Amino acid sequence: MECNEYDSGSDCYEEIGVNGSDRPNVLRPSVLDLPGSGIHRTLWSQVPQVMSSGILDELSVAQQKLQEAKFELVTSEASYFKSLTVLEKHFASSPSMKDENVLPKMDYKILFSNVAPVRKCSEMVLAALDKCWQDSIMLDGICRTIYQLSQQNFNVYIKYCTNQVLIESTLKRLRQNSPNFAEALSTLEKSKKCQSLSLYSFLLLPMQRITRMPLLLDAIRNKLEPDTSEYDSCTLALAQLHKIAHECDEAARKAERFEEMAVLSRALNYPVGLRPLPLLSASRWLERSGQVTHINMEAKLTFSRKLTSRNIKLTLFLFTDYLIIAKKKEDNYSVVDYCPRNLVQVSKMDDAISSRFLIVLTMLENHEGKTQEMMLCCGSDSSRERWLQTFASPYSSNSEETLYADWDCPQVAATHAYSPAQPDELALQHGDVVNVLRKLSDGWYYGERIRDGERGWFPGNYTTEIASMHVRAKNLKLRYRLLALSGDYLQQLKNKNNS
Amino acid sequence: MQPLAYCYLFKYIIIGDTGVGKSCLLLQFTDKRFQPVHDLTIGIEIWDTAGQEAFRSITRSYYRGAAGALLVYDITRRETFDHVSVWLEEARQFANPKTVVMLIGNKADLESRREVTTEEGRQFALEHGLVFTETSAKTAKNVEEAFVGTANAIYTAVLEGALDLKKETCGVRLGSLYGGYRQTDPALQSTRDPLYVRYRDCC
Repeated sequence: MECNEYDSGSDCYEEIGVNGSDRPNVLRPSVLDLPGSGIHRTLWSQVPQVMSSGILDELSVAQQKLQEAKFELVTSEASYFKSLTVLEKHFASSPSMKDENVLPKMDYKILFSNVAPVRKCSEMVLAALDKCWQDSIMLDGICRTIYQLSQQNFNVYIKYCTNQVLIESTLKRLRQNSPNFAEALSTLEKSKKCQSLSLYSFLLLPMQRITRMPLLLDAIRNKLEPDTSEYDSCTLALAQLHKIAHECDEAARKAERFEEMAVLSRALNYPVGLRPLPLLSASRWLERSGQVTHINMEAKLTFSRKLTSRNIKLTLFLFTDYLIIAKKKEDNYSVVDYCPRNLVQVSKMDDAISSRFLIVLTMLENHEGKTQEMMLCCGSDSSRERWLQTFASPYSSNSEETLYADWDCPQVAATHAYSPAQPDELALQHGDVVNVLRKLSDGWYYGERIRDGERGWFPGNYTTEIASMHVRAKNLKLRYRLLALSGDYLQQLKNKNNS
Repeated sequence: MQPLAYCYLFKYIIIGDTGVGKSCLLLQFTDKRFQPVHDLTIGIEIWDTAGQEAFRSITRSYYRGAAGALLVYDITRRETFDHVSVWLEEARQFANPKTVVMLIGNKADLESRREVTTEEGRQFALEHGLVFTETSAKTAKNVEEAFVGTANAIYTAVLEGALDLKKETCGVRLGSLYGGYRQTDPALQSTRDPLYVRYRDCC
């Protein structure tokens, strides 16, 4: 049975994998039947059919190296596929893992539901590589094959990697809390088939494979002559694989952040009277957290508030769009206050007497809508600098340009429709609302269209600024600055009169 | 092929900046026979992270369940030494707290281009409680010692009970006395599969 289409029915590949070597008129062993793996994996130059073909005498050392690099792509995929087969057949399909008393259905889904699609994908890749190998002993066109496959079929890896954090935490929890599971797993892991590797090692294979693929392609590319069509297709494949590996990493990062937020939201307790802040959101994550000391002092701050209680340790949680201030209580935190990030102002404060690392943090509108100032002491100069840096708004070194952060940007609404003249421009329909992230002095804005997240440049005079949190924050900041100025002025007057 | 008897399987991870020679060290080591430690046969499973430094979020998984970490820098490139503390922080954060970390200054054969002194490496290791050595993946100097030294440190931790073998995340698994099998020799079994070792012309 011949398979020419990569995306044809899966049964087809099952047969190639299993029966490939039984096909008539095939001189070369199927890639799955090549002996050995591990450090003693088969080299291209050691395959009997290659040795007997006489081709080795005609190749330079460099050309042979290229062949080995191409061949490694094949042998490593074969070995990977075999391991995935152990994962699917030995672990995922085992009666014990399918027993709900051992492994609840939800947990089974987390651990194993993405295994089959990934194995299917590897099977497809392997079939295509095998065809390449059967067609050409020199493995011509192998890069093009990988490029075509990766364009269509590798999204299963992104899905798999998204789940990786969850796989880890689930496996850990099961091992600790479920004696049934731990025992069943230990029995399975003792099988000869696993070569004494743990289930965990097997579950990491797809991540290892998808990050290794670019390396294998890069090794081939380094050995190819530039300006050949093979070099070009290798470059394409490499770029595509890099993109996918990055997307996998990004997906894992997002999932990790979400998990972190879930853990954190369970650890934050709100005392009676403090309205809880719904923390979980796909676009919110923790940027920095850490302990500072709240200095209560007789000295007068801007609003001349007198504070008498002792210094206390506080933990700051700075999220993408919110600041939460809490007190640590054993493993949990009791929330003291919170404020939208664009309504927080921080500044360095010199401490002439004891040279502590002080900052003044102002919440223009705290949880009860009041302005609240606090003097905080950081553990070190670098810790203070890093806090100031994280709180700061983006700043452009180009004076012709103004930058805005996602969490504090102006909003505009289109008053005229705009059709892009360049690919980097944003189409506007009348009424479209856009978050502005950059403004250039010549009137061009760069922003994100709210309805679909599309980003691009557009002429600012096609739009008009609308009321938004940004405008409110700007007004509050202005008011605060004026108050502070007048406060200072009054203080100066007072000092003058006293002296 | 004969089944291999070994008592322990240690899981290692090799970390450090791009281009410090992680894969070369591994290759150099796996080309040699692994000497049994303390009359016990110890197998090691090595996870190479070379070339994957850019994918920090997914490759963090490597840390979990590693008994030993070889943290490699290049003595001819100062910045790779400067980043050692970042790698160490990451290892401490994501690995088991008991993970034995060995600091390795690689490329010791390139004495004329040295930018990091042996003393600096030793000092850093001392301050952070790491084992330290300088190696040359090219001449094989100290390579075996680095791997064996780490295995010794882990083995000591096992004997002292600092590592709880019942925990999956301790990175030590019991071997064939308990039914495990390996088909290659002990040094190589780590690399069951080329997924764990990379063959590249990096030396």
